[in-house]
Amino acid sequence: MDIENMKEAYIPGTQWEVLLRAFMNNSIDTFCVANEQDSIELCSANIEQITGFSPQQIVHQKITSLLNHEDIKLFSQGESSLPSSPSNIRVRHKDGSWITCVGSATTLDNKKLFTFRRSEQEVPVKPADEKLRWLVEHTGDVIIELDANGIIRYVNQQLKKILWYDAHEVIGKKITFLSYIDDVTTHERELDKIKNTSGEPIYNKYRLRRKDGNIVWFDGTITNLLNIPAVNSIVISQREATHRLEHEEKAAYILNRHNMVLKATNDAIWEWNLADNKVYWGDGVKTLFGYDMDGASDIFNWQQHIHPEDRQRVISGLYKAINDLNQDKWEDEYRYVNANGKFAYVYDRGYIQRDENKKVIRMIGALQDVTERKANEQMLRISNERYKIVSRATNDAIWDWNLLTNEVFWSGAVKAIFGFKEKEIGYTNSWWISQVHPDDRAKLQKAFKEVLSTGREYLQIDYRFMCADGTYKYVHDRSFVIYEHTEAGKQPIRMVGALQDITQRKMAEQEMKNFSLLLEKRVKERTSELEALNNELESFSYSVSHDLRAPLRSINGFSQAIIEDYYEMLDETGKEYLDRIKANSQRMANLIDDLLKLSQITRHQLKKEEINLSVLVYDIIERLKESYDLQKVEFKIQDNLLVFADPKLLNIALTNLLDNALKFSHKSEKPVLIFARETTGAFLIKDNGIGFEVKYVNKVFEAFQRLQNQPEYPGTGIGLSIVHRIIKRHGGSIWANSQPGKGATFYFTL
Amino acid sequence: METTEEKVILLVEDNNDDIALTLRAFKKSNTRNEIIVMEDGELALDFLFGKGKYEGRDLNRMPSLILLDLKLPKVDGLEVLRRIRNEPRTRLLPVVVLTSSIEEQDLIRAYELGANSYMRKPVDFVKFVDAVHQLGVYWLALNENPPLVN
Repeated sequence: MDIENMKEAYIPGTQWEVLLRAFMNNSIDTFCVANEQDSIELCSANIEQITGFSPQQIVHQKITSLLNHEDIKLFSQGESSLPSSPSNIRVRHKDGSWITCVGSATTLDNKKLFTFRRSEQEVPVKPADEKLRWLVEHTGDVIIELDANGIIRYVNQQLKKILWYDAHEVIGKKITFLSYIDDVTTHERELDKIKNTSGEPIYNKYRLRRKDGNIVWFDGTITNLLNIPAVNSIVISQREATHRLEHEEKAAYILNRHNMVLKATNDAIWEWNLADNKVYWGDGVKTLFGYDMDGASDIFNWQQHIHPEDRQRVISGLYKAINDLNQDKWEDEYRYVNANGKFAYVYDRGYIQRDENKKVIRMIGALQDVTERKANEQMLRISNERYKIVSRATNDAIWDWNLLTNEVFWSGAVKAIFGFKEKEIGYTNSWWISQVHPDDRAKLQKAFKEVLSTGREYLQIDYRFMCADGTYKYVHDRSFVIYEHTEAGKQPIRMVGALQDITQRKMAEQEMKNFSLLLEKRVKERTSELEALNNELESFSYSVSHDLRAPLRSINGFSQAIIEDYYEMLDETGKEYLDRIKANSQRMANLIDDLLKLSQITRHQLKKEEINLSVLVYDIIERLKESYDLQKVEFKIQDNLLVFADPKLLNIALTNLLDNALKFSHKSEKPVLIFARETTGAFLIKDNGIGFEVKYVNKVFEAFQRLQNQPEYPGTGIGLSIVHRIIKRHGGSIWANSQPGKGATFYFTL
Repeated sequence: METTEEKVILLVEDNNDDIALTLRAFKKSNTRNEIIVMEDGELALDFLFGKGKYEGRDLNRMPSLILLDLKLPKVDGLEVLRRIRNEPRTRLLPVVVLTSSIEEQDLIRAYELGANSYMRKPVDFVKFVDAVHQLGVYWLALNENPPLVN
């Protein structure tokens, strides 16, 4: 309004002012005037009807408290003194809401005048392109306009802020330029789907690629407005949702994990509210104990389920924890009855929550079923007991070497065997080695190394171990290696063994060795003694052969000479005496010969070979035919009787035996001579001659023993002792059986 | 060539009784041959080789039979035998070992050294006479002597 124009319709000052005021206050429009500082100077009364503010409340306030700041732009639209065209303006109500009004504004001098009225209906007015543009530009969302082919036509400022691309970097490119590589095909599919919709905003989440390659999550809308001629584009309106989505994902993941944990745990979670003594149970109580604990049970219910023997202990322990103002934890182990009526071992632990006065308000905790663990503990206890018993029962020192830490456990026997006091024992591998005799150390370590590196399991080794008093004991160590199977192969982790004190045994062995050496020495000595003796015997026999017989020859010879030469001078007695002399000298010669034969048997070196005794017997009989008339004798000789023996000696033996048999039987009526072998393997020579009395059977084998003195049966009595000696030299035995008048049987084995 | 009666027997024996008895046995068996007695081994060898006391002896006159006892003083019987067999002149001479020993060793050794025969002296005189007789018959009458070696 031009003041000049106002001057034309001049009404006197105060009248004009009163008129103006009345006009202002009674108009259906509201009028406001603001000064250069944008403070409201004047305001009509009916402002209260629209805004709830009284004029007094409005005056001195800034326009911006009344009008929407966007609408204040109206003031600069029109020419300075002309009112702007009526437009929609928003006016603030006292309660904070905006009232849509219709009004106009103008600037006069530096004052701003505006008027408005509540609108029934908005003025159908096309928002100015600029306003729209401003809105689009400044919204927090990223706005992208695509053509029908998905090519970016327009992007607002937010793109730069969030995705760091300048508008010119993306305009003209397909929208998938901004897609994350994995999503390109998905987005293209989405785009095609969108084209089939029309005008409806489709809500979705997308991730797009920031200029530096990082992902940014968005969610918002994509609307197909291709059919709107004014728009003719697909409009994407997306808000950055990175944090929110991440958060949601994280939450979902945590929830999942939590669920899994809940399922994995065997614990029954509980919460005891001390105010009402009610206990709230988690799911675990059903899986563990089979109880359906929906809702709360009371503390007494829990107590009743404890095994009567444990109840008192557990409850008093619990209350003790509660009453101890410094205690915030409680735990206990007891038996808890489950729905089947059986008792399970449980381990219960809880956290005590106190208020600022240390009064317990709540306890939360978890019950764990440890029945299996208890069973294992029990087995372990039994196994340990068993081990202790065995360890005490055995005299061996049992050791257990942890190869990873080089610690060594020793059983109590190590004290008993070596005389150590507890504090003298080192429970390490290095102490062990230091106790080993220096000369044996290298051998022992080499053996260990070999076993461990070749993957062998068993080791046995002897070495000397030093006792508490410094002396050494011999030990026999038996052990085996425990391996752990890893991806890298077999790793030795532990070695377990037993040390046996073998000092006694070693000493005994040593004594044995010494003794056998001594024996050998003695044997050698004895042998050379025997050899010497044998040599002596040889020379003795030799002498005997010559020296003893010569005088006999003389005796005999000259006796005979006397008989021959002085025949006429001797009477019968004389001749008889000389005959006796001759006979005796002969006898003596025979005796000497026999003794020589006997000693020869002893000195003879046995040369065994296979002999056919039957053939030998036949040969001997042939020879004996010269001595005896054997025509009448019936011979029963078993054929093919083979032995492994010295032929010469056997010849002598059999000759003697057969000679004997024939000597004493060839004069009988029907002499029978049997040579055979029994099933027991013993040979026998049986005759039916005069026999002898069995009680003299032993004498028969003694040298020179004759059981009869008849001259018809000549002999010195050496024969059988020679046989005896021969049989003995073959390691055999000889015995005889006889009955006087019924013959004799001689048995022998070789 | 000598007649049987002309043949000489050398008896090498140290035991006087044995010498007496052996000579008597020869007499009893009607052996009339000359019997030369040497009482020890050394003497026997000296005689045979014409040494020592017997230096200059006619070595063409060798005994037709040597009766050799084994147990001799000075030089043992087996050693005498060995030397006899070593010497060309006496190498082929018949040697009968006449001894009381029945030791197998003596027997073996004697034969090894080249004895022609080995006979054991029986204690019984009668048997001894008989044995001597047979000796004489065989070695002096039946046996062919080797030729003398110059």
